[in-house]
Amino acid sequence: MSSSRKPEKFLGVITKGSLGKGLQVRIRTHLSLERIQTGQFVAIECDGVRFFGLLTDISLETTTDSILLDPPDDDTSSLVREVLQGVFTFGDAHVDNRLALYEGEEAPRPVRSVPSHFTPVYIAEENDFDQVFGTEDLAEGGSSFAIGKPLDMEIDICLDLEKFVERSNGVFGKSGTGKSVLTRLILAGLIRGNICSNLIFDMHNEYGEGSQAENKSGFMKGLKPLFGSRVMVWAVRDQRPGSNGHHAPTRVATDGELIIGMNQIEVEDILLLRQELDLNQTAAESAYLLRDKLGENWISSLLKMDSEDVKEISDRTGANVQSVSALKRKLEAIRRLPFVEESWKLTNLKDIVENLARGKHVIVQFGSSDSLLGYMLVANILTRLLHDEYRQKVEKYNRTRNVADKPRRVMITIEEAHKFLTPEVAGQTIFGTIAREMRKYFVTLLVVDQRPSSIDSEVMSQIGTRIVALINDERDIEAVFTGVSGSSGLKTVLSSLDSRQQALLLGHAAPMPVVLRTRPYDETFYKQITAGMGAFSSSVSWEELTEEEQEEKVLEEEKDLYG
Amino acid sequence: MPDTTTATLPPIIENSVGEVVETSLTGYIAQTYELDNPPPFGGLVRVKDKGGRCLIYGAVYHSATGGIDPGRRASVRSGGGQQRPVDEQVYTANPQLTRLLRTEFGVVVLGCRKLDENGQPRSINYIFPDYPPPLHYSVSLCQQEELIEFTDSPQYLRTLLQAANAPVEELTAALLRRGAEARGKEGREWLVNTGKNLARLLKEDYDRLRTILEKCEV
Repeated sequence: MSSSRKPEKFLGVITKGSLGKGLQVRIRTHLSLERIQTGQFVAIECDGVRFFGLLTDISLETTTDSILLDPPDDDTSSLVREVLQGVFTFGDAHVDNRLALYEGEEAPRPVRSVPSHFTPVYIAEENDFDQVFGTEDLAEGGSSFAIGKPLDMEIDICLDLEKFVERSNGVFGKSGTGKSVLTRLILAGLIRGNICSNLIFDMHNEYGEGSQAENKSGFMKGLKPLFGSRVMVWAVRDQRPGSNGHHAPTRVATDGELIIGMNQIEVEDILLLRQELDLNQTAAESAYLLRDKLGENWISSLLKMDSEDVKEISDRTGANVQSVSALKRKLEAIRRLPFVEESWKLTNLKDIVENLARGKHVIVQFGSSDSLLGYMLVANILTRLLHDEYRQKVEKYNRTRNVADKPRRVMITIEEAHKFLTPEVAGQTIFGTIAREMRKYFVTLLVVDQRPSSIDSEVMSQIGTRIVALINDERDIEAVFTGVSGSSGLKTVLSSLDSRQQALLLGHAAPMPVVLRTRPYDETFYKQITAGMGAFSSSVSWEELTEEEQEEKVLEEEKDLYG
Repeated sequence: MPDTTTATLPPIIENSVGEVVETSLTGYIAQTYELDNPPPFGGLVRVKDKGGRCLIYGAVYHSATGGIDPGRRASVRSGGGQQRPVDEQVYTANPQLTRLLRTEFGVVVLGCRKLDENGQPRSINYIFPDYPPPLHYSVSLCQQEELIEFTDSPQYLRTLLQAANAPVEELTAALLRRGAEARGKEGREWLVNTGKNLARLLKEDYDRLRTILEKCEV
């Protein structure tokens, strides 16, 4: 392959290695070792093939042990030090070889061969990134979205959004490493490209209107101001009607209010909340017995019972009296949630699912009641409903094979995902099911979490694309790489990330693992992501529009709302 | 002492310092024309081969002065007393000494260079010549330019390190010092590069390398 590479990009030559364990590169650059960073993208130039890899580690080596017994010190002449460098002492870089581009082919393929001895290795140039990651395409239906830039270059690294939504995905990182910015970026890309519908469980009220940026006095726009009517914001009711709460509703207008009836709560929801409710296993299991006996309204019936009734029902169902009364006590916590009514129709939940199926993006906000209990309950019930609806839709589609029946893909974004996906509950909850199999049913997850080690490993292994910001905990690092082959080198890279605005991208939607600087979520981004969106764009305020434009916008929004 | 007249010699030996008195393919001994005036230790010298078609290069690794009769050692001629001559005065007072004593120097052969039909030199080869330097041929000390040309390639280092009977570390350091000095400002860079080449040869012997390098920086 013709090579017109800059000599200053030369890194060294391959000395040994294998496909499984990666390649060892003797560093022969004129740069000092200190300037070579791990996580860099490298290109290996062979005859007719160009390989791409990731520099994962650098080791200090010497040709002989005697130099280690008597190392040069401060008194040693500088000549000795200079001479030793590169001959007696040298650096070996470890390169994880990932892709191969054969001459005459357009796109690189996963590697199945190794470059021969002493092949030159170069730090990748812009051209290489273009070949591997493509260029951004933000048009309607465009699936290539720039998520960041390489550490030392001004060029886009693109995520293939079509591939991204095919599987469940994860955004991981310690608290404060920019997970929610990353998530917001991806969601903005998905909404802009209109790749799939998004259902976002917004625990901390960040994605709808916007939130205060950390460390800066700035304000980060949410998705609603960016995409206008494409995005619907639903809020769970955070005050009971008539109650004179301590705080007036602060939220801006939403598209609807969510209320959950106790008749919609299933035993499965209670099992998921076992830890939050502090229920023991037997109490949780007796819920099944009660559900069988009391039917749909089992919770309200149970809560109305006095101790005599509890005893009687326990006798009848064979449940333990203590367990049932414990269950009754704990379920009081659910009744106290401001959005829970004794009985409620499914209308507004169904409304959300319908909107998703029609291509809208729905953000569910939890208002001031950002208790984990409420969050988990609502997320589980809504997702279960979505799951059921989609199962039917897909079955219908499979029967008819009619393009018009093909369900619209939905991606569910959940924060604090480990609460839903711990090994104890992942087998039973709806989120575990989705992560494992719902790809077939056009529903996938975007898991946002800071504690991946708490997520069931079976679920982790099914995660397609991972975007990982800094993680320090050994177990979390281990967990993040569950189901990733050749991850040992990546671990070093991961633990050397900056704590802000850097992330490792790997998996299904990225051709190869790469370290990136996250794209800034700022005014420039707002402009780029909304450019050419016409009436959707809200970067131009209403007042700035001419009368005609206002009319046009009204018509368009109307059309958009009512189809 | 052989009687030499510079007038009849070709220009190539204008800087001649001595004459070959004992020879072999790998090295030779030469005697200086002037008593106590040998080429410096580590200096690059050359001598023509028999046909005059080849210049043989080598480095001075040894020099010594003694009586012409190997069985007889020189005896004391100066004295502590004020009446008697000291140092240089001994030679002035005893002019016959320049005939009774001689200075010899040893040279290790490092490479050679063929001459074309017109007597113009070709590039230097770091190999042994076909034949050893002939006896009684004159030995010349190379000028700076020639030293720079010879030391441009590091190929002579291996031969140098393997020289028998020579103080190899000292000799290598001396040659490198001369090479660096001849290059002036660029000497340092050359020294580092040559040092790296030396280090490749001495991969298994860090201590020896270090000794040589430390001696280069005096």
